[in-house]
Amino acid sequence: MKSKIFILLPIIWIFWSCQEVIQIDLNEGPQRLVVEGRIEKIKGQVNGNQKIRLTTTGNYFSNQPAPPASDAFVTVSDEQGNIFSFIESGQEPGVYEVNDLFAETGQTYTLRIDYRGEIYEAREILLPVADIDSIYQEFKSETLFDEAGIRIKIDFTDPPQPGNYYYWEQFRDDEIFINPNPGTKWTLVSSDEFFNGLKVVGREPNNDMAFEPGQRAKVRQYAISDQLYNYMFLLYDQATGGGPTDAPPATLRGNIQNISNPDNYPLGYFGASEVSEAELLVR
Amino acid sequence: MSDSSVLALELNEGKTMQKIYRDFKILSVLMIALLLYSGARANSAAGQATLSGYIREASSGEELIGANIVVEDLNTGATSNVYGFYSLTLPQGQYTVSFMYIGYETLQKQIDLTKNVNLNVALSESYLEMETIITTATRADENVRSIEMSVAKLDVQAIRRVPAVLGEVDVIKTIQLLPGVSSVGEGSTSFNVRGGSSDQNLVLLDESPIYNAAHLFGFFSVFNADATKDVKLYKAGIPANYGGRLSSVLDVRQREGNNQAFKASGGLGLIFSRLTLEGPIQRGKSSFIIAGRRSYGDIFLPLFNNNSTAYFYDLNFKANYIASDRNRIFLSAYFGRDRFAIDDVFGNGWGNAAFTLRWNHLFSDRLFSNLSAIYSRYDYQLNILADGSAFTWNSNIKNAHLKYDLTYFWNDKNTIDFGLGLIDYQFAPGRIDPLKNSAVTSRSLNEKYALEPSAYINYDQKINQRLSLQYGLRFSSFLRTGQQTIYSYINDTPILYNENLGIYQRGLISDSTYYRSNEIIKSFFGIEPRFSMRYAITEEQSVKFSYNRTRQYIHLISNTASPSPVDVWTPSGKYIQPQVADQFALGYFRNFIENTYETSVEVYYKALQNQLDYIPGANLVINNTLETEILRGSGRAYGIELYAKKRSGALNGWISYTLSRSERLVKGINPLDPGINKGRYYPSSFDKTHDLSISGTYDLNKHWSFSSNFIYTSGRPVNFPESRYEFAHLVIAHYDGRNQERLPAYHRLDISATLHNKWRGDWVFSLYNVYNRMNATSITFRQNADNPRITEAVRTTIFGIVPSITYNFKF
Repeated sequence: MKSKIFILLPIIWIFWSCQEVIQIDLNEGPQRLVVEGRIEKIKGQVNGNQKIRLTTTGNYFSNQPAPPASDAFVTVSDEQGNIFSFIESGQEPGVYEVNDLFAETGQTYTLRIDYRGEIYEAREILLPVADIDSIYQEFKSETLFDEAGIRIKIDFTDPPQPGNYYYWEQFRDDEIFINPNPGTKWTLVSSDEFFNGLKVVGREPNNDMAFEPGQRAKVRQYAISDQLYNYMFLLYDQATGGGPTDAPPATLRGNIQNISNPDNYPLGYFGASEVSEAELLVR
Repeated sequence: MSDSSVLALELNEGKTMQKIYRDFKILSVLMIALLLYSGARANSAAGQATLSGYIREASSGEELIGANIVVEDLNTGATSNVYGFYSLTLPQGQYTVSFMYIGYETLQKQIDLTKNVNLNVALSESYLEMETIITTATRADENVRSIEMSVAKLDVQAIRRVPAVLGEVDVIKTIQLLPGVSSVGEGSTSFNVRGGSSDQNLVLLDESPIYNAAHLFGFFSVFNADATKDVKLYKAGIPANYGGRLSSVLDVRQREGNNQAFKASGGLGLIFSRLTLEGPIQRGKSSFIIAGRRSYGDIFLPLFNNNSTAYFYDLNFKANYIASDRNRIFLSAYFGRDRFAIDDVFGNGWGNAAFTLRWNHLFSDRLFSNLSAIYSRYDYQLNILADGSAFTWNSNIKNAHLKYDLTYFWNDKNTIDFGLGLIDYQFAPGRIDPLKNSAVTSRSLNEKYALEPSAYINYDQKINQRLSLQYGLRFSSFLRTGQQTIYSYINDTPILYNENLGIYQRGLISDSTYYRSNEIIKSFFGIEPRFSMRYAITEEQSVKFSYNRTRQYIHLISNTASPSPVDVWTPSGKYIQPQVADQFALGYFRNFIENTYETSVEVYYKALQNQLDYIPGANLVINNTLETEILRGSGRAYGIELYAKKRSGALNGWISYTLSRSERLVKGINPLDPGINKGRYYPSSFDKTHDLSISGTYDLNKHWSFSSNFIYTSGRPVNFPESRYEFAHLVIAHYDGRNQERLPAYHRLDISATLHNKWRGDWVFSLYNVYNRMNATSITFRQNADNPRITEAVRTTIFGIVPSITYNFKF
């Protein structure tokens, strides 16, 4: 896959190079609002629970969990003019939820946040997703890039029209972790450019995650917009890199704008997706 | 917005340039005829006669470039050109003429110049005492007397004495020690001259352009010092016969080969070995030289056990034939290849191939001509062999040139150069094909074609003993042609700016036009004036000034600080304008103690137009529509260069210091777009504020010599995060602005010791980065692998201390 070209270029620098963690002073930038939200319609279920998480940026070396952005007014409205007010959870500050937003495909959802006197807005259309046809496991021995272990694979059929974009999350016993590497931007998100209309067989949603028998695997396959695809691609691209053969890091902008004060732009993305879930108990 | 310059015109068809071209050809023929006729008449009428011929080295027959011919009686002289030819027209009479070249015995001849005299001379090497060893072949007061400024001439002796990485001498490593020349990173042989990007250097090997002068990802250059005769780097004051790149010209000439006797020489090193064979084909009339290098794969990959390789090889070949007193033919060829492969997973290869066929013809004693036919090719290949998705990607750039250069040596005070050139380009940016029945579909990026015709005229004039001028015009044009399909965009905007979200978006294609083969898609034309002036205040001091305008029609598409092998060259066309630079330079040159010490101070200012930058997250690699990724900007570079050199004695060397700035400016594409770095100047990725190099050699006795380098440069501009946040199960670094931070300063000390033995060969022991400073090639930011909430800064260093041994032999 294309992924390999780009994995290997940074490796060249590793041959003779040595890497060392160092102390460095950084100039601090202004604090910004970070929005992570996704309106979901889960295939095969009737779900009304939707969550939006608001946090703020912190000092780069703070090493603290992201500070929650509390006391914000969060609403999501649909094309029909229905307005849903999200309430901040008592247990998890910064997480705002509703239980009665039953999402529909093809619907455009508008997010509106009033935080510290400034209004933020975002809009996204909820796109339908292909079903995960099957989920299964395969043992893989050690390769140059991966350790040995059981990997999860899925099959799905891409719809015939071009322009489908995918995002995958793979959980092991309900936990998810991602170790970003140069291949991540090709494996966790994908466009249908190379497989439009075809049945995709044996895709590994996260080849870094190895399983042992008895563990429970869950894969969530999301249909995302092309704008969210570009955002995630760039996000993973910047998660590793910064060397002289990498492009300079860019300011990652999502789909949310600060209407009151455009210079105080927010970070993150407000998404809307249909989700296909599949689970497997690893043997 | 068209060029601000009055001199650049854009034409709908290439017809006007074609017309100029045709006119120029006719004009050239007429000029040749006129000059020949008037030359002959002038001689007999004004009582003048011409002394001309070739200056060679006695033992090998190699022509000496830049040798001096001095006529003391008239206080005048000349120098030999790149083919060793000289021509001096003087009033008829009897003269004592001296032929000189540093390191060689001066030859004096009594000449009775009543009619034209043809005199070829051969100079013998001089064997001087240790104290007077000179380290360079340029004439003692060359830097003060020569019209050239911002030019560094290196001969191979100078290059050999500088300690280099892993004990191997390297042309490009040596020029990086000169003022105004810097490099982006450790081991990189891309170089930057006076704030210009690395694609703005015209690198020529016997007149053939080399597109990627690096082996092994930049640790060594493609130039084999054993085959090199002469290296000249122009940083400014570029004469009109050179064009096509903005910032510099690196003109490397290969040796001809000993035409007196067979010789073999070479070396065995830790990284690569070399062998050179040369000799006469017909003694005194023709000779050849073959030089090869090959590196060893295993040294490089201690991390990977089996079936992994990284190696390079190159081969230089040259043959020449003296057909007659007036005709000589040369054939040069270079072929080099790098190969890098890991197991059966990945294979990567690239290389340059260059061929030049040249014909020197003397129309008369005063009119020298050279016709060159050149073919050059750079290609890059990538094989991914993983099961199920195996593919091969091939990309190349090919060109063929025809150049005709003439020099008319009017008299000892005036020389005229003029000529024509035509380059035919073919760019194949990429073709992907499946391997091993994999499910990858074949894809091919559009091939691109172009023609670059040019013409120039240059006049060298010595007004009097103090003042010399050199001025010229270069007419260059560029015709981008089919066969190709070109897209048009809605509202003619390939890139849009979404002001609400603050992001760039790709424009929508509205239409496509198919151009047939040789049909003109877009044409460009420009005039490039070049001017230099030297005013000698005294015998040992001079002031020089130069102005040049240069145009560049092909561009290396790269958004990384250091060029990487996947960077692709692309021609100007409907959406990409030619780059233009205007450079002013002013310098003061002074020598001391009879030219033992050379010093100079130079200041320069360069204004750059149509510089390319890219949208964040630009996809440059496999892209047929680069116009949706490219932003257009301008740039400026300015600085002061200080240089001091001790030319002779047991202890000699130089110090160079450059204080400079190189910046770019990319304004928004519409009034609502703030542009890169909020539309303000930002440092270019290779900006180095301070650049200090000290290089010295000490000859202890007949057997031992030592040399050392010390380098100190500011760190290159980088981007550091200003805060962090969490999204999609990751801790993300947030960046704002462009290139506002710097890496820590880079400094290192190298030393080497050479044990000379005339009969048994030389041993070179070297130590790179003696005090093992961990210089940062990059600082990256990442989540800690064990505890993702913790973020860390990681410094990558390429070389710590590296010892090396090389053995050199000669037969």
